[in-house]
Amino acid sequence: MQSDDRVSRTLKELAGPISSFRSALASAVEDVRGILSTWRSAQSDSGEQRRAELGCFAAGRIDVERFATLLAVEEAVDAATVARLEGIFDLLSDLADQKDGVVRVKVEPGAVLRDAVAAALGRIGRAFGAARVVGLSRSHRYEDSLHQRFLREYPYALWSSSERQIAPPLVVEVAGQDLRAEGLAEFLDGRQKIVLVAQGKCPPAPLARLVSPGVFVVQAAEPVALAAFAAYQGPGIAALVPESAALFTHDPQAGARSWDRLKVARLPQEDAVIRLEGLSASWQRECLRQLQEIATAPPAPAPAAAGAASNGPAGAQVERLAAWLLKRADLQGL
Amino acid sequence: MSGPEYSLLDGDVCADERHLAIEDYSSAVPRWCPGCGDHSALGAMQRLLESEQLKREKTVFCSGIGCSSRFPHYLKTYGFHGLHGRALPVATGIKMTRPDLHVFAIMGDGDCCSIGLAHWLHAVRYNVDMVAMLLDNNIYGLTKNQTSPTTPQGHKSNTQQQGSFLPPLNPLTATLGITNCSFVAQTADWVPAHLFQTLKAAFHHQGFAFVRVLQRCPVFTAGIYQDAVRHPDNVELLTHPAGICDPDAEGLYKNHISHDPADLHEARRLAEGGNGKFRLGLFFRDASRPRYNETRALPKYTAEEKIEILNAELDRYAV
Amino acid sequence: MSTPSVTPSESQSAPPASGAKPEILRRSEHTVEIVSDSGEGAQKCGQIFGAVSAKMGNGVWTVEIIPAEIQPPARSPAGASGNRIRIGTHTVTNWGDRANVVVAFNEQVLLARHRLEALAEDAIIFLEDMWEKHEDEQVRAEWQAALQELSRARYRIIRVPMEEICLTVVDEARKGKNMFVLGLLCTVFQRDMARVKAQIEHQFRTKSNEVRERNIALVELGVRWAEEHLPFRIEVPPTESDRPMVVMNGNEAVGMGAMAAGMDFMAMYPITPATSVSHYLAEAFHKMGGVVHQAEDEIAAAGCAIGASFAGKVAFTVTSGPGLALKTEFIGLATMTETPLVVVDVQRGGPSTGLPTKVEQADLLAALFGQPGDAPKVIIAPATIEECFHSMITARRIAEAFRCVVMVLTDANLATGVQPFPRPKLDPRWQVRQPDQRPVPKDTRPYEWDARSGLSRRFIPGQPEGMFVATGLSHDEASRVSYVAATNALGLKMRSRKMAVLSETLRPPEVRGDATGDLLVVGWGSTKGAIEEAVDRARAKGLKVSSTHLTFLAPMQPGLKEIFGRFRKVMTVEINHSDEPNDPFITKENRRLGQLCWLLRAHTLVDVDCWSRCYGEPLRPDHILGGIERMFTKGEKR
Ligand SMILES: Cc1ncc(C[n+]2csc(CCOP(=O)(O)OP(=O)(O)O)c2C)c(N)n1
Ligand code: SF4
Ligand SMILES: [Mg+2]
Repeated sequence: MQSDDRVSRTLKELAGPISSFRSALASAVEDVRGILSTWRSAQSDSGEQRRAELGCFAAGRIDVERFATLLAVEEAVDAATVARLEGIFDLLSDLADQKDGVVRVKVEPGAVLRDAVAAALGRIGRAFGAARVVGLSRSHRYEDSLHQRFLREYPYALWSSSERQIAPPLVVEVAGQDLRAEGLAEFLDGRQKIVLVAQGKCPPAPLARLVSPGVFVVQAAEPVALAAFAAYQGPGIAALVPESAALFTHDPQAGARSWDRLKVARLPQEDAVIRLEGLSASWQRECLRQLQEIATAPPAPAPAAAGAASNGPAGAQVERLAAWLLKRADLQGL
Repeated sequence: MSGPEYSLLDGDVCADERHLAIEDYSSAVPRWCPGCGDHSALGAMQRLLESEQLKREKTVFCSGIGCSSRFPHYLKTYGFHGLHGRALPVATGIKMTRPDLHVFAIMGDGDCCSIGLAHWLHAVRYNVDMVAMLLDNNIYGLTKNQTSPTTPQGHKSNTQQQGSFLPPLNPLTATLGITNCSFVAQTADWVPAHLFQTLKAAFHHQGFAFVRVLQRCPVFTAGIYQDAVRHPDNVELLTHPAGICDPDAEGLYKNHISHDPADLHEARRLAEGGNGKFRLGLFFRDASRPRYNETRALPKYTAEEKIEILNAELDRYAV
Repeated sequence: MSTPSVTPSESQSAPPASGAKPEILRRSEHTVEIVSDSGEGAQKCGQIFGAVSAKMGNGVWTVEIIPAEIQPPARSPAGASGNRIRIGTHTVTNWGDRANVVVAFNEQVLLARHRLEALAEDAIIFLEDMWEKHEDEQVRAEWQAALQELSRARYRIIRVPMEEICLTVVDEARKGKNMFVLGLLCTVFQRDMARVKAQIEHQFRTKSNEVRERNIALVELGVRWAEEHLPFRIEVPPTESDRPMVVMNGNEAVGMGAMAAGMDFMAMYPITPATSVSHYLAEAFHKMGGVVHQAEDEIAAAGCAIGASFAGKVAFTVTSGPGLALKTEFIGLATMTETPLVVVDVQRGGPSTGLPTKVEQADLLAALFGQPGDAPKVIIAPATIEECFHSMITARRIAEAFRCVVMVLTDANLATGVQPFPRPKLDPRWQVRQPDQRPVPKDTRPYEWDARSGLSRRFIPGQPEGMFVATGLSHDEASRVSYVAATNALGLKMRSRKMAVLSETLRPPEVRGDATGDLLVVGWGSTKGAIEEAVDRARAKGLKVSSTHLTFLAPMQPGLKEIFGRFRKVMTVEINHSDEPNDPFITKENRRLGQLCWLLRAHTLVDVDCWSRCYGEPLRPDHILGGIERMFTKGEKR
């Protein structure tokens, strides 16, 4: 599958949230470097580190060995801990070096989208896992049997609420026919954003079933349409879809009622459904119909109560859908 | 929390999770005179720390010089007891580089409104996220009874023995007049519950929260707030659902003015005073004003990335 | 160094091209000045000429000639503005003596340089001659008078109708002459025109294409005029070098050094000549996550920097003398609270706007002693632009390791001077670490002074169990306020002890020249190149002179007394005021001395003398040589 320039333009749109994650990562790399260099210089009293730190101006002017011995000796640490931290330093630097690559995923044709996303988040999550291990090591609470696995994979299910807030967006290239997004609901928490770049033909409303009150959902043709999505301080999912598909935006901040939030820019004819293996035409049609229904205000809106809206047929459906999603995404106790 | 200075390692995995009691926030025994209003301000502050369960290591109190500026020494947090008039620049430097810290600046009236005036004015304009508390006893306490900018006209002091020559400066109208002002409240040491609620609102405000505390100094300005202390009728309470709600004060003070803190114009009018009454409550709040610590926040880079960037910079100067 | 084919005194119009090959004058170094009214762009022309020369492999030193006013009156000697560029085959370490080639946009600014004795006796001068036939009678009279005055010297004045030629390309010649002159000079000095054009592209990168093209057209006019009219070329052969080099001014070097040191917070208040550090950083700093905070005044700038350092950074602030005065109390507080801080002072003359744009080594004593109470601190004075860069890395590290204030004293000469130097090989270990956020071990205290060294570990907000209140009040190891005399004495002792510890790691300064002799010249800061050139010349004349240059002024490098003892006389050379020994009322007892001289006398008890000059310009080797020779002449009231 060739990567297209929508991916790079998407990355540009998401520069804000990506850079918050990357700078937290960079800070962590520097934190670990700092811890390591104090530990290392405490371990071996080599003047090399000290000499380097003093810079070239010191050459010939400062007796670096003497300088090194005079500085207060810091606490000693065992070699295994230093080695573990070195591993973490490499891991974090590696993630930092991947730049935007860290947030890009390509789903092999025929693979399960949900699993690919889960694996990618688990990979990114190693940054959080590593940070935890650093904390545990510093406070002498680290245990191999419990914590070592955090460095191999740190699945989304284990992420704390603050980690979910800072998680980077994921940009996923996926073949249109593999675009089964329902399974992604469990990852739409905190500020997690997922952008699916659909290649080739795809169902007309693949994200319709993810619309729920607090989730920003967009189907768009072009990455420029993602600005508000990127800025939203909550979870969101977007799909960049071809001509044939529906274009819509569900912006949780746009109002209390589902038809205020959901703006449909283009709704293909119900017969615009395509032939896709495993996705029946009637199911695709059902998705379109759902979209239409959520987006439509009831004919005579009760002027008094916004709460009454949820009693309307569309409102009821949204509520039900939301309840279902919340149940699936229930992350309490993690 | 996910601001650009946040490091993954800030996740408080190893932090002390135990519930902290008021005593955990207390440090040295205060050396203020008995009856000094600063005691009450300290008590309210400790209550705030306890009720918010602020991490002690993540909290910094900055102060200038004066009786009031001893404040940080009596709290078990980090502190910076600096120069007369200069608490705010230090606090600004701290918050700009460490947005993860909770920053408080404690000042006296000489500190804030005289020698530190330039910093006060600009700190309001920067609107850096912090709580700034002015302990206003209308006098220079530490240096023993000299006129301050807020000393009532005619009040005698060691430097103006015939009585203060000038009308006092009004810290509320001054602050409310400054561009980008975002939070102004007034409270008093003798209504500790209201003082606490005010500090709480200030703490939760995003931006520079300016709180003036009418502070009694029984040694040098014994009389000045007595009218208000003895006769609740001389106090007017600003009340509003969006303002500071304290049932104790509302019970004690019968004069209520319903004032929407979003209304800057009315805030300025009320702050002007003029009827001889003391007005307590939230004059103004606007959380949407730009915060300099956020405006200036930048992403962080690793040492290697910095070298890459700097090498590109050196390329521009390459021979 | 004399130019052959000098036409004495009389000014001449340029001869028409003879068609013959121009004569080549080979020189190992040459000094060029471009002077104009301010706003005519002479500085831009000089910068490009200097940068191109550096890129071709010549040694270069560029100094700005700046009037104190933004808009001095046109055609006034006081308004002379421009650049001096000294180029050589080898490294050039100072701005030289007198200019060999001068381009003047009017005769009044030329007169200014003449009166300052800035021009070589046989200088070749290119002079705009539009003033001779100017419509204003007054101007014509001034021209006549000026040429009369200049005719007493042996200059070779070549008139150039700059305005007239430039008007063929631009409507307003005032804005174009500088590029015409650039073309002229680059032809005379046989500069690589492709590099010239590339440099123009770079300098005007923010301007429109049209501007760049017009400038190049003007340069070409200058080239053509020179080719048609000038029968000579000057050749200063460059040295081939495979070392990669960079070229920049001292303020840019300070800014870049700070970045290389990983510092990312700078607070400042604008003051010439320090401001351009922040101009540079404002352009570059944010790319690596750095913030330049323009505070409401210098006091706040120092306070913000200290706050940032207290919170875990090593922050810095950049200022000049008057700003330093305002920062004194905070510098004292940083010392007392042992908060690391780097203060860069780009020195200039006088209070208020004394000599705002001009150089003076004015602040050594203020830096050292200016704070209330005892404020032991480190003072470093870089001597070259390269050292401006590298000293920042060392300064940062010392500030952090010793929990102290490090002052870096540069001056206007370094700030605006441009010199090529080897491209630094950046090292991640130069960079400041992230604030330590590990829990503090139980029962350690924030000022747990090592009983011998006074060093202690720094606690940073965010570190669990490290909570303490930094205070300017006398405090004990736990930072508890204390009124006990012994505690106060201990704190003073420990903070001072750190300086002794640092001094013990310092090496004695090197002596240039013989290890013994009649005279040792001691300098500090930007004067190094000029002093060494003067000393070399004196030695060539047979005088037994050596020199040494101090980079650490506090604590002092060790061994000074011993070194001084090997010479009959010791004298400092400085750009600050000292009384002339033979002036009325001046006696050996009441004579006020140069700032380093005071210090060295106190430090070594050696009867150190001084020669200083304070003309608002860098020292010239020939003047220093005069000062050295004076020490050897008898009959002085010494
Ligand atoms: C630069 C400077 N000037 C003057 C002083 C002396 N001084 C210390 S505190 C103070 C006034 C204190 O009054 P205020 O700020 O109202 O605080 P209070 O003691 O009343 O709480 C003065 C003038 C000083 N410490 N530093
Ligand atoms: S002098 Fe006044 S302000 Fe100071 S401690 Fe005593 S009562 Fe309080
Ligand atoms: Mg006071």
